[in-house]
Amino acid sequence: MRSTAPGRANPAYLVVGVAVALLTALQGVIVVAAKSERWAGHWANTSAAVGWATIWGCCIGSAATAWLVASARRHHYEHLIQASSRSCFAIYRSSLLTVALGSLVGYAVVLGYAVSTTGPRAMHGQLSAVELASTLAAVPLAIGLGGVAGRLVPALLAPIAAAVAPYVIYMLLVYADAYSGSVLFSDISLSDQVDRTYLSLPVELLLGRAVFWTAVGASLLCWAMLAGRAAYAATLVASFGLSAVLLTAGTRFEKPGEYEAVCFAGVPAICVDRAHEHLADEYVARIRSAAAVVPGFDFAATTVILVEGLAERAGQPHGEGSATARMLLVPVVKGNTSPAHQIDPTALDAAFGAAVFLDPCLRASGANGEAGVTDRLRMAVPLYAWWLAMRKAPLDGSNYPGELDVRSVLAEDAAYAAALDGFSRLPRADQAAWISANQDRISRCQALPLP
Amino acid sequence: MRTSTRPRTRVLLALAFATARGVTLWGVAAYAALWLLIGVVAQFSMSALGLRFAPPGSSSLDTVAVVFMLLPAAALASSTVSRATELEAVRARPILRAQSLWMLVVLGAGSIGPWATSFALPQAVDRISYVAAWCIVFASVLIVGAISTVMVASMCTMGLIAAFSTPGLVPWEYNLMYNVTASRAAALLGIVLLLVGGCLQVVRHR
Repeated sequence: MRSTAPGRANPAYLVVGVAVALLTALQGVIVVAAKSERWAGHWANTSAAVGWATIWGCCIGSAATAWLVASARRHHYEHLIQASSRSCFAIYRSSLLTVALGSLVGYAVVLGYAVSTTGPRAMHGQLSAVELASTLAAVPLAIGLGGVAGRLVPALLAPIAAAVAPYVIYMLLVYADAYSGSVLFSDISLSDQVDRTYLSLPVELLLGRAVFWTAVGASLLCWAMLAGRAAYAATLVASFGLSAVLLTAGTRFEKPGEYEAVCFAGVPAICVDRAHEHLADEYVARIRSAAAVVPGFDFAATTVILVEGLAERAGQPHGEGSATARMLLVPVVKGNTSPAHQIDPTALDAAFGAAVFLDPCLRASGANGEAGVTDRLRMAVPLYAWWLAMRKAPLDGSNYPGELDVRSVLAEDAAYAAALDGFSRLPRADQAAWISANQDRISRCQALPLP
Repeated sequence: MRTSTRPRTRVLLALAFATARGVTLWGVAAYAALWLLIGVVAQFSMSALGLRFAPPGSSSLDTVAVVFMLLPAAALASSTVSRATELEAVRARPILRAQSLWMLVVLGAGSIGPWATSFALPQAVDRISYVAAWCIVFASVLIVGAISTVMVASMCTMGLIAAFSTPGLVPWEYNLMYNVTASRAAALLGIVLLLVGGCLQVVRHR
């Protein structure tokens, strides 16, 4: 067995450090990329999204620490450490620093990925350093939990027990949030799910929870390294951090600037808010190309908006009050996120079709308290189904959450299927002529039979 | 002269065999306590954030319960390895039969926990999903453990659970852990993998 001088870094630790860095970076990039529609292109969300890498990243750091700390028991030389004149900290210093460095490098890679994704797209704002404090706090927390597991849990099981611990803590806070209804539990979590598009969290809260978790990790580590006084001091610091979280939990600041409308003249006119301005070029191009393929529909007096209430903020004529002006709400939906920060072309096509053909009737049915199949829907559903089929989008309601399952509606009522079949068989010129002649009635959802 | 081994000697030998694999009374009690903990946590039936909801009438597995399954799985897998390698190396009889019997005991111990706690699950939680998740977790630890260490095997299995529990990563129709409509296929796959894992462990330690 190769020996190393006391206090010197064992080359074997380098392998552990590299493995921790690689695994942390890999899982972090995958986790963050899997939900890119929630942050890509928006700095505030990007800053918070890096923290998602800590959910499993903390488990990796914790497991590696436990493996290194438990190695003395695994290889039956713990009595040598106990008899050593050096402190536990001095003995484990290099191994703990290696894990810390590996974790930091892993998170830095995740940060680099997020910054390189958002940087070229974002139109305003900047990376928030305060939001990254929680990510940094995950490193001492992981080492603290791993240190305790490495000293207490049976040597062979210590790494997996240490890996489970951070995730269980994270999920217990989720449980507490769900069952108690208190926002404190979600706010104190290392990685919260608050959407930063229109809201921001107070700096005191972000720093408070970073201090809390850092101090908890330090306290656990000091306890595991038999440094009782330092553990006590770290516990005091943790209580200060917790106080800051308790005082500011639930506080949110609105960002009025993000609601400002940015409008693009043309046919149709299109308005997006500043929060989604980074999507504007693609959104405008896709909406105009979709509008161009609706045969016979005149969009000259139409304003397409990305989120509700934009038309009023932009000073555009409101569809309800004007005889000719129309307003179409076409949200950007991707996965379960609406409005998203990335465009799913199929979902946008479906949302545009729904805004043109389906939404007027759903709104009218809702306003009149009508339920079930109505004459209004008899016209709207086949037109929407025809649009989806024309754009090669699925008809099973999977384009966006809450979409009408057109296929089952058509299967339930033969009249719908017959109307769709009849309209689809018409020559394109006849479809255009019918839509052109009836576009006002379609927009107002005045029931009329399809040709 | 024909010799016979008395039953008491057989029991002592079996106990020595188990002790050499790290089995202690406290360990068995801790194993039972872990399953009790999993049974209690499974009552919450809260799957990882953002996962799609299960069809009406059934409920997805609790993610913490699935993550906790790693602990009994790693404990059982670590008991397949002998701590007295010097004695094993000079034993008079071939190890294959004893190791096969031991694997049956380990697999049996691995079946008692989920079977017993499945009766305490809420009505809404799909029992087949629960057992299937355990089979997949345990089989993964055994299979990867057969070609590496228990630590590597349990970490790889945690990676597998993380992949299934991270929203948006594994398509829902292929999510064998949480999609109750795929629970029967998952159970079948889990049992087959468990048998494969058991065989690999026997072959590894023969």
